[in-house]
Amino acid sequence: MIRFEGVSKAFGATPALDGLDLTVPEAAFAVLLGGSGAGKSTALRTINRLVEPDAGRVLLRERDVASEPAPALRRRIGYVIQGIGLFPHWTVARNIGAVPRLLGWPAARIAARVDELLALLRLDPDAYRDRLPAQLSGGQAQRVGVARALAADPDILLMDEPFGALDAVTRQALQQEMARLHAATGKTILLVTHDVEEAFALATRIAVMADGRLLQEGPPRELLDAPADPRVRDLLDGGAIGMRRLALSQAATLASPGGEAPPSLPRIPRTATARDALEAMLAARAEAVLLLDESGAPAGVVALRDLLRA
Amino acid sequence: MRLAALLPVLLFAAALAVLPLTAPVFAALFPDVAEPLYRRESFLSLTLSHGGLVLVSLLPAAAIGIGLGIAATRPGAREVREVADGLVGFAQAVPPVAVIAIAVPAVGFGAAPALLALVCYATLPVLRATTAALATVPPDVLDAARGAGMTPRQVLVQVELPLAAPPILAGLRVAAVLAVATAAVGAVAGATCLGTPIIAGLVNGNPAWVVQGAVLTGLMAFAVDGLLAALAPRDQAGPVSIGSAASRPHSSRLPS
Repeated sequence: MIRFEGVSKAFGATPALDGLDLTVPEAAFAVLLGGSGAGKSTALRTINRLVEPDAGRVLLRERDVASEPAPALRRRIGYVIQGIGLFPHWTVARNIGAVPRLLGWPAARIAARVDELLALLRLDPDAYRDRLPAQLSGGQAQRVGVARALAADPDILLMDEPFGALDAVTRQALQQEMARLHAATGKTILLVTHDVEEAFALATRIAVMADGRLLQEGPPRELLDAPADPRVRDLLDGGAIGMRRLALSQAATLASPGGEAPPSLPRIPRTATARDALEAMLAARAEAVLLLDESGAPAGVVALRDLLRA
Repeated sequence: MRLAALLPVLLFAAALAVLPLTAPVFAALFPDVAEPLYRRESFLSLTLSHGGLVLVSLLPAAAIGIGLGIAATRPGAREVREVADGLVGFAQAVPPVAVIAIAVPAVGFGAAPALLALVCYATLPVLRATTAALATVPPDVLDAARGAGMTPRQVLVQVELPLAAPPILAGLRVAAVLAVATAAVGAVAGATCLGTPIIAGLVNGNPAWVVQGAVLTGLMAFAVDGLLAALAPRDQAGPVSIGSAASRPHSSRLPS
């Protein structure tokens, strides 16, 4: 759990954080969302003390982060940045092993961990272990960046616009990777972005910031349904509030029992979202879709009007 | 080792070996001179003591230049940076012969004033190369290094210096060549070196000696430059050689 208590920070005369209060629950995939200058990155960097607050404090698992030396603290926190910042003179393996080496792990354990992480990030260890960062594409480099952040099995993972510099296809692939990693490891992740799509694709909790303060925090659906501030509504809407709501609903929760479904209905997996269901109906010019369970058996029908309940 | 880079070294060695045999040549070139070949000391011993001056001055120059360059680039070291800038500006404005002239009353005649001037002048290129090289380390890399939990010393030793090493070594090479040339001026204050025949020639109206000292000093500067070029690491990972790494066949950028 991460808790900000009245955290303020100014750079010169410019305030970046103005009394931020925010709690990120354990095992959440939390997204700090806001426009540029909202103070998101500054907030993130107070957690690993790359920024020291002028006032207030930051607690990590009920312990003030200022109570231990910054290097020791940072070795327990994964950190991924937009610019990736791989060490250009080190191989991929040495980059990933950076924190374990700082912690004094034996070489064999580091090597095993490096291979494990490369496989986890879907990079073939034999092909990538000995490459230099200059020999990687942007997406591969950020996979290595994420692997490096996870190497010492940190308590939490901080990600500062990690996919902002990647092309759309690579970005989406890595977003799916992060959702999978979060589900698999149960780590607390705090990700900073200005990209609303990215926030809704990843977050279990969204915290919307503006002018160094928290506007609203909660599950994505709650922010959509009950924005606490016009600025939250404006930020989240973007002309797509209905589609975002559909994307957050499971189609199966809207389904009625299949019965005599006409064979012409489009079919989608039961795990699809309501947005997928709408897309299937529009694509097939049908007024309903048939959900199929894992074995391919019918598991209910979602009609166009059912979507209004999402 | 690149053999082409060693060519100046061979040329210098050949000149040292041949010069003592060229009295008739200089006699023919300068018929008015009574003693056409400089014989007060052997050219070899002049070269050795010249090289000694260079070596003895380069070590402190490298230590001061790299040390000051590191100190000036630490966060919050504005004072150090200002001192370093001032030092560079001052030393650039004052010619070596003036430093020697000022130093003689303080430290006496001989090698000491020459060493002082040499340390001053050799420090500058090292200092400039160090601050410039450290400034080229990408900010994202530094952010990642700190974020990974490296202490400031670990960031310096494991990340900054390895990435900055090639330009710093290039600065050392410039300093060494500069020191070879500047050491000759030390003869003004009585330091024994390849400048000694030049000064003696000027004082005694003997242009043959001036030519002999000047030719050997120039060739030695080339030789040192070639030697250090041959010793310099060729294929180093880092900002300067990313181009060479990227030109390897298996490094073409692929979508992930």
